[in-house]
Amino acid sequence: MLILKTFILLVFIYILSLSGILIFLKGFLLSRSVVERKSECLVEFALRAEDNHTHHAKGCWMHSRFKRAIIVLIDALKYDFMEYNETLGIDEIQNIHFKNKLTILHQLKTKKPLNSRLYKFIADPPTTTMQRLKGLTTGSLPTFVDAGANFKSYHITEDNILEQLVQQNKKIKFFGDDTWLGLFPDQFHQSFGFPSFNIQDLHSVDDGILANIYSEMKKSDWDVIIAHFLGVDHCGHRFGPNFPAMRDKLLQMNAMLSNITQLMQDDTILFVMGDHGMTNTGDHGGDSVAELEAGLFIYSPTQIASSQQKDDNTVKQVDFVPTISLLLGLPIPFSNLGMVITDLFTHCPWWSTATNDIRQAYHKIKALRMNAYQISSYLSAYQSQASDLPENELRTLQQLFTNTEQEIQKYITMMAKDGVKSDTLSKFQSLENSYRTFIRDTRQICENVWAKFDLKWMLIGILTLALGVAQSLYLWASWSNDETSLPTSAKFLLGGSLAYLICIAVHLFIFPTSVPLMPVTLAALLIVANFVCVKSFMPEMFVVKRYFTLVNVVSSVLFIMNCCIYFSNSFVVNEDEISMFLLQTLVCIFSASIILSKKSLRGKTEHTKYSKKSKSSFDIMQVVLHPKTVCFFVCLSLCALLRLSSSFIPCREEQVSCRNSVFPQPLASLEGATKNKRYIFSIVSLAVMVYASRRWLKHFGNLNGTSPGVVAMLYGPPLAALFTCLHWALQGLSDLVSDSFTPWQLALMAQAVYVVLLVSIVTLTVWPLLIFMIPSKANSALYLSHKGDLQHIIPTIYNQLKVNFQQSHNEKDSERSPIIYGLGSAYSASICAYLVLFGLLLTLLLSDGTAPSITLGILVLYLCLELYSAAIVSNSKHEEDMSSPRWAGLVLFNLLSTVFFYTTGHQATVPSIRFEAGYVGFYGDLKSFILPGFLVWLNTFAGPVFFSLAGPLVIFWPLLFSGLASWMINKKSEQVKEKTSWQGDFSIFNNGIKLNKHLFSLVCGTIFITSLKLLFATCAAALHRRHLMVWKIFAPRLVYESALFVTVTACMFVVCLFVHRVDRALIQFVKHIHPDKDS
Amino acid sequence: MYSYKFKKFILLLSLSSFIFAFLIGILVLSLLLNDGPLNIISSPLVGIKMCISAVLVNCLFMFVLTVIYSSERSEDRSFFQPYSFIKSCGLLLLSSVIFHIISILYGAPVLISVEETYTFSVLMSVLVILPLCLFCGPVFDSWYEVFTSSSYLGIETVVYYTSIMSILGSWAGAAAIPLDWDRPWQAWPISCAVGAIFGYCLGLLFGAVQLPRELLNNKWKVI
Repeated sequence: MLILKTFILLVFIYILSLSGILIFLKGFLLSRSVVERKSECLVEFALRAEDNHTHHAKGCWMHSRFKRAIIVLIDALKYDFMEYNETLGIDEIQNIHFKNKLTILHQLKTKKPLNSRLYKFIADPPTTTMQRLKGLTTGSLPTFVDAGANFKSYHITEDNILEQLVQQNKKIKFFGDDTWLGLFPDQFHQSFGFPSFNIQDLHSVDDGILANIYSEMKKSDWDVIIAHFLGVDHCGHRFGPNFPAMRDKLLQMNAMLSNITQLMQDDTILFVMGDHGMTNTGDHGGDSVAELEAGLFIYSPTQIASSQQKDDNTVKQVDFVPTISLLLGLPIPFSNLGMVITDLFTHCPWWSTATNDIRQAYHKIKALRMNAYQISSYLSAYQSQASDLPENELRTLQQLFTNTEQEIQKYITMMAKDGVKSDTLSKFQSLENSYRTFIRDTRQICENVWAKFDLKWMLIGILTLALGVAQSLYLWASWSNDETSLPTSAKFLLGGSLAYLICIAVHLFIFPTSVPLMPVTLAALLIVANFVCVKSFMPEMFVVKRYFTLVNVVSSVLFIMNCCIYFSNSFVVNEDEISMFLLQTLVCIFSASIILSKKSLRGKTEHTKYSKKSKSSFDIMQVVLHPKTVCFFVCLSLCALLRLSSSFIPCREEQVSCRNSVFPQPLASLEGATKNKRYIFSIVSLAVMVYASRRWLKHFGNLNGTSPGVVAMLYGPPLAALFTCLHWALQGLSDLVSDSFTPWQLALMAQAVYVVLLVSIVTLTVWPLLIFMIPSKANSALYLSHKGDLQHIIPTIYNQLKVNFQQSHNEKDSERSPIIYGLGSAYSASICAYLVLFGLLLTLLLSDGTAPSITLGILVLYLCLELYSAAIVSNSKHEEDMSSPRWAGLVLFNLLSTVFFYTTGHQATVPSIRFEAGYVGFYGDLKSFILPGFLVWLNTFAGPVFFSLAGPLVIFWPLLFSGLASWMINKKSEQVKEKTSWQGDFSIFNNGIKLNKHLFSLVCGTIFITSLKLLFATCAAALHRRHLMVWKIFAPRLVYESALFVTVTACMFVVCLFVHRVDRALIQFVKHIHPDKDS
Repeated sequence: MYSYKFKKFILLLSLSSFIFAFLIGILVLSLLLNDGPLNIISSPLVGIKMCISAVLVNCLFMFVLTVIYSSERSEDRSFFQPYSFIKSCGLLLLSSVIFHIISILYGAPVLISVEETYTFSVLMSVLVILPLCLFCGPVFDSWYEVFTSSSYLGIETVVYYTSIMSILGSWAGAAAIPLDWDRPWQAWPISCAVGAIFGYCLGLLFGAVQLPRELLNNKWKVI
């Protein structure tokens, strides 16, 4: 009953934190589905209305007005920079370095008003270059998760203007920022890409473009030229907009533009635009007016518009895509949400529209109609795929669209029959307005759903998460005390949290528009109440000064530092190294506390200030084998192992000086000797892993007998390791050889590993005890003759139950008390066995390159546990509280999880997810994505899964007093323990409540630590939501952290259930040999 | 009660550590800020060597002070025996190698900038191990005494603070390395070395404050 209760309690806290992070992510992560359909050239609606034969030019949906286009994208070109202010005096111009520098635009505008247009070009936030390029080429709104997109690279798969150009056999030349080459790897006919990474570098990209663009322009092998200049943006980042360097940069751009306009021919149109603006400090990324207002200038040597530009000069950036599509006679990209700039469609050179208002209006409407058709078909395609758009409003809009369409058809037939009437113009006006409303409202709806941070959800999410943290802290603190049941206040607070959950559920799903006053107040109240209650436990904590040990204080400080990493982008980028640094520090502090502890003083009763007797005979062995030296070496080798494991970390894009080692690459891509060396290294490390675990289990006598669990552990791991090696060998074959195998042959070995491991794990779950009993009636002499190797095991392993039952039973019973092997490590051995089996699974999934890191993980785990238990034993005063999981231990395991997340070959970025893990052992196309998803998930969180499965060892290990730990602390105390019969972790068995309490404390502490980290990550993401790097650094980190929280806690639950299973089996076992003993 | 001579010794010690804290601090600041050839950023090796010599001067001065004022325990000073002297030198050498290894384990590059790393480790062993060797003798047990029980008033108090603070300072100095500020002083040994020396100065200051306080508290007995 108690177990069920604690379990439900833990699940409740888990759900509380989980719902917090889910609510936050719903408000924070902008997401939409990607529709992969492309627009086609020949469509029904275009054929019906278009009269291509009357024009001299061909085109898809409309006839093409221009044959060629030049797109000059100047990064961060604000509208302010482009607009010419004639009222400024000379000295004012000299003071404002960015004003009136692009004089060529002004000249063209005043000299040829019908050939040029200048617009405010409003960007959609986030105003980062990558998101803007997506918007400018696809015409859709940017979001963080373009679900369904290709995760491996940033390659745009949605329909876009470049794709359409290629479809129509147009040749594109590209100059400038090489981000484009990542987005569009194969669309360019010719490209001159330059790396954009160094923000300090103002000139190399621009100079590179200018060196090539003119000569390339003069050739005739292009239809579209795209040039992306970065100097202005970098200048803004480095100096801010108002700086002499900006003046020089803008003058350079001005010269470039005037050269280009002179070289242009009549069939060409020029677009000069900025992808976003900049703030007064030169930054961008957010959604302030200064960042959103870029500029757009359009010019052609031929006339483009029928009238002068009116005052209304604001267009959206998404409007660029439909406009240029129709001007060049292309289909509008399928996912576009922009509206054509109608101003540019009033003039048609073949129709003499200059004087004819009706024709101008009709031409305009035709463009709008194409646009509306495209948007309407996009909407229906999107709705069939996803359901995040509000249906009712969309239905009304579609209704408006169909009505307008009917009306326009009716009207055109009428016009053809009756000729032009007097009210035609006003009729056209109203049609135009309907189309505009349709497009604008659709865009508005999508924008509301996709492109806004929902601050309300974010706030409620953070509060819920904070409540989860407070609640878990309180439960942890209250239950760690020596009471057997929860205090009333805890029950009361739990009820409050439940009420809060219901309250936010009602609020968010039933009254989504109201102000969340009630949940916020309730959450705040509950958090405060939790902390007050925690404080009520505080006096006891302070009185007992044992909480203020060196290890506790330092581990808290390190933990807080680890949490604060999330607030700085460069710390997040280098988190792999930093968490390694912190972990090593924690390890050193553990060993320092052992070295400095009083217990390890070897009988130093009286001390003189300076020891006079410098030993004349210097014994090197005594120094080397001295406990403190051993401890020092353990610490050093732990640090060395951790440092070695860091060679498995792949580089992330932002780590400039980082070089990838040989390990993260696939084996098949390596050459000759390197390949063999790495393969042999992987095999050796796998063998070490299997051998070390067997050795350990043997040492404690857990591999004796023939119980199914023991057999599974005897034969399962070596078999699985063998098959894994064979699988890797198959993977390492070169393409030519591996093509000669059928797919199922290539997958066979991995499937064998799955089968072996699955059978072993199931066996171990059903028969979890790795112990062997020799009944006392059996002739032990005969038995020994069967197993010759028992002698050297006996001294260390055997434990007689006699000691346990001597008190309660008389002498007669004790005569027939059996000898049981491995009882002293019954719990730990089962957990270790479980761990090894899962470790082998992870090894298979990690592929041979990074798999050795799991071996290193096992070694690190062993040394860390030894160090931890030595620190616990040497610092604890009471024998009994040795097994309770300590704060420092929880922090240690958390840090280990974080570090081994990286060292198993991952980074907290989207492209570093290793999707190939999902296809280990499966050759065909699987129907569902659940199994591959699970495998990829296991691969991604291999380190955290491994170390959270090892979590309960924190409870049992200090009871084992295994060799190294007892060596590191005083040898005398070990001898004392030897005398009073070593019981190992079986000593916890007699106290069932204690075990449950420790398990509860472990899981609750883990939830507290991970959710506190998550809370920090959440706050950092919310704080930096306008940060330049939010979508590249902070948001992925937050997503990883939340997945980590889910993973670690779920694994904790699993392994605690397993421990519980072991406990049950042990109870049955004891009952079996002692039927008369109750409980 | 303390003897007059002992009180004078303690006060002198406090005063000298105070002055040296300032002198070394000013030296490091000037190494950081000057534009000449001695700038620690442009030539870290020279700068660190300057700091090492400054610390050596400081240790020597304090050593002379202790030798003069604690004449009654001069036979305890095992440092003058040739065996201890050699042992101390060996320990210093060994510790510099160990510091080198530890720096590499903590993330210093293995193959490049070896000289910088080793100079840094020499600096660390001069900051941490040299005072221990000088004032407590090359005996681990008496070093152990310094860190576990602060039961002796004297130069040990200063040594306790300087060695702990130097290690902490170099540890904290590493925090600057991953930041993306692109400043030259973020290069590997500079921020750690500067942190270590500032930590040392801070330790001297703590010692300077702590010595007279402990003297007034009067709860220490002189053996």
